[in-house]
Amino acid sequence: MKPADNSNGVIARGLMKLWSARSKDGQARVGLNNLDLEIPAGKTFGLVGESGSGKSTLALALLQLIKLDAGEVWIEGQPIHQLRGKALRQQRRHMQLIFQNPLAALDPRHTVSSAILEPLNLHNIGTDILRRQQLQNLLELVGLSRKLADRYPHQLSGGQQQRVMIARALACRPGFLIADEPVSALDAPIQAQILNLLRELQTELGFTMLFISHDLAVVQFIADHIGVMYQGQLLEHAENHALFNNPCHPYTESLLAAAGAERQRSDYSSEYQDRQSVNDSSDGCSYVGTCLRATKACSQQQPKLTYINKKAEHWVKCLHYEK
Amino acid sequence: MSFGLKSLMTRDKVPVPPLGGLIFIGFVIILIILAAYPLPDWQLVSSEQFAGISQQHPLGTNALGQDIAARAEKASWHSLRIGLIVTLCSGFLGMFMGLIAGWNAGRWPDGIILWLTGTMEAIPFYLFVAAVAYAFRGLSGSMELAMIVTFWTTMARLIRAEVIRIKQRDFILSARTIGLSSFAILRAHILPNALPVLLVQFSVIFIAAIKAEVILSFLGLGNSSTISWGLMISESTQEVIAGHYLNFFSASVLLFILIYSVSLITDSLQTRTDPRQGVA
Amino acid sequence: MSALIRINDLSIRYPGKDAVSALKHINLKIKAGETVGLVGESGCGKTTLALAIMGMLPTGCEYQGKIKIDGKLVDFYHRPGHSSSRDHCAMIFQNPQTALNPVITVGKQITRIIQRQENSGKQSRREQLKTLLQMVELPSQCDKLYPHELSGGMQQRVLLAMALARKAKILIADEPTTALDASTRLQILNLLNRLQKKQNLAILLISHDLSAIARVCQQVLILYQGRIIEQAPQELIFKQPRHPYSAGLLAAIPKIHPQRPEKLLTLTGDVNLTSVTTGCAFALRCPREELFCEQQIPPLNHALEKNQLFACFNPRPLPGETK
Repeated sequence: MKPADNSNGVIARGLMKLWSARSKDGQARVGLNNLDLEIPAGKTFGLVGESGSGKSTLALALLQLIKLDAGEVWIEGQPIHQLRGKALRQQRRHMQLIFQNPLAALDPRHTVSSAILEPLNLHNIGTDILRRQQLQNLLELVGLSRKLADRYPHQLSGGQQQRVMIARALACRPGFLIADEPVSALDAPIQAQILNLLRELQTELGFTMLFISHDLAVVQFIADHIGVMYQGQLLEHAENHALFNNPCHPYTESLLAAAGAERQRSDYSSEYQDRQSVNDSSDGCSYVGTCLRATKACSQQQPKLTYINKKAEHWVKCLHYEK
Repeated sequence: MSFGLKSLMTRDKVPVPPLGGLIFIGFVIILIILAAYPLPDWQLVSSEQFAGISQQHPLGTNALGQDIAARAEKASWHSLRIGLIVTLCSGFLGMFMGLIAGWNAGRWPDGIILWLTGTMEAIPFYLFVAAVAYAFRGLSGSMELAMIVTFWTTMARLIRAEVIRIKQRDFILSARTIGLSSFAILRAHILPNALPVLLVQFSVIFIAAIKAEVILSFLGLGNSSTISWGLMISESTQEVIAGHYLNFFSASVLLFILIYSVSLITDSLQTRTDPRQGVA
Repeated sequence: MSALIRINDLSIRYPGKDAVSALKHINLKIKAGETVGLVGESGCGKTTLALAIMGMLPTGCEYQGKIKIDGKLVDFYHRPGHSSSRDHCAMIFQNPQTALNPVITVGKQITRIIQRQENSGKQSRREQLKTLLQMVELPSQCDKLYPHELSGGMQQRVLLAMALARKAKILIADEPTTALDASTRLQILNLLNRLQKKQNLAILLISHDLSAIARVCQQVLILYQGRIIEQAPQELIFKQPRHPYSAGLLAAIPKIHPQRPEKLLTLTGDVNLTSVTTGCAFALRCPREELFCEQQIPPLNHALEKNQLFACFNPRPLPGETK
């Protein structure tokens, strides 16, 4: 049952999640729609998509923080989807999460040092003295002054709070780290600092990372592989340069165009309208309502994930992709 | 959000003087002095009716010639004892019920606890106490029991709401990602953040218990084997008309001091336990 | 044309023991039909300026200086019954959902404002509502919907319609696009552009998103710790920022590079509002710091280009200039 290849990375197969609760617009929310994902050990997978595409659901599902309707998750060779209770809690030290809003993700009543020490104490790593030392090392690692150890989260700036979050997540030296929009609440200079830090830390510690963002520019810098997510599916994924140089799916193209067009001062064409028509039926492509290249066939059959370029690990889910 | 808006919302430090503590200490000192003072037994009936303030009777005597100071001292201890017992028992009962219900919100333990609180709150309190007091008239703790059984419901409801609110915050998810168990999350993250509500509710129960005891014994539903402020005030209704105020004053002033100091102490505790208020 | 808003030497301090000056010596003019962009990291005083113009400062603030709107002096605090800046200004927010009443349909919310403006008949109110919705490019059947049934972009349009219903001459937009997806963001910015031309609005756009500023603003102000450190027309500031902070801020904007970069350029350090220095507030983070920078506060001056003002002793050289 255990996948033989790539046993140190992260493998997810056929993830399904349907939210039973109804969302804002009265439609049942699609969480994840038969999603496959593979991240080689020590690499970063960048996940791009607009809000509501299921990015955060995927993060929670991989960490088994929500119940999946179907699917398997293997992290560092461990079948996470089979673990329950105490076994799962003990496994959690190997997979960590960084949040978008660090102020909300830090307990307002815990100081910086207790936030960072909490995972070490919980998993009984080292002795008390070693842990204090580890705390100093971690603070240094994420570029925080030791003087901040006794502060409360609200006494820190946004960038410092996010550094504390990173130190806490890395305290147990996890093999897998998920960063869910870790910089989108920060100002541009601080954003760049945190991104540089994350990339340095990955080179130094060698963890596998899933980096979620809505900003293609951010993902281009941080990720080795990039996946484009829409309606709970990966429409296209490839190595970094392959995706930027040769985007195949119309949705990827539109995202790239939007990101590029933002830099120029030109009147924007009405090409990308509000997503008003979403294809709910199970057959047919989920992007068909907005797609400029859609044909009759698109709404009748679900496109299959097709290989474009073996070397660049380039896959696309579209009937009319451009080579 | 920029700095401007943030500082609009966080209140500036409010310096809370330990006034409540001082008043409470004053209350205890009064009790100690009264205990050390050689007073006659509180039940002792003498012929000196309505005696004024004297060395033998520092607060005079009542219509039966009983020493008011001795009765006030006994009544104070009685009130404190009832207040503490009821607060601790029903407070912690309510807290645990609230935690269980809030953490399992929407599932069966929550349903049972909500049904229980609803049922308890539907029974008129004084009617219930009277019934319990009558049913257990032989037992001295019947009044306490009645209060414990009824007072936990508000605490449970408030803590439940608080747990549901805190549970949705990101730091609870963060605690789950590092592998904390439900119990540990409740203890280390939810309870400390629910502390302000908890403290206020404890003091509300304390005050409510003391007031309820006063009212019940004023109505004659209290424990007949001991003396209480309510009983003293009830005795004094006739005396006040005749122009003798000592009994009435000593009972009501002590009641006021105790309740006021407790509410002040709660206020300052609340400020002091919140790191965002400055004094950590 | 004379300026619609004129701010003279405005300084604001928040109350409290460790009070910080939120704004220091701000001078600003906005003409009708002009968009001024206000840029800066969180905590630099952007929102305070907006609140001051709207007369919504928290009580107990110390202030100096004057704000004139349409030639009339404005109260810093709104008093009911007095005419104030609110007769002329409207504000839209980062989070439109919180600014709308959740239990009333958006049509009704807009109609109420029309009603308050003039006592017109039911028929004419309906006509006006229709034109307003058309102006903000919302389908007319939207008036029957509740705020939660609209997407973030549509909610922002409703707020704009409400601002127009009040016949506001000045629109203060505080991070209006920060919470929106990339494609919606562009639509809202373009709408702002079009409305401004049609209605001859004066817009103060507050954002930390420089690409948004670049799309709609004519004038750009860069704020650092409550001071304007650079002020210039949009073209100049993006082409040749003179203040090192402006340059650092511009360099830190995430953008898609032709090749995946190894490290992102950014400013070092963090804004620290409480550190009071005798000199330039940016000195300690500045790559071009000179000895006297920490001793004296640089005034806001211009060099060769008359319309580019900057507060720096050692500005970046113009292209072509040596050193």
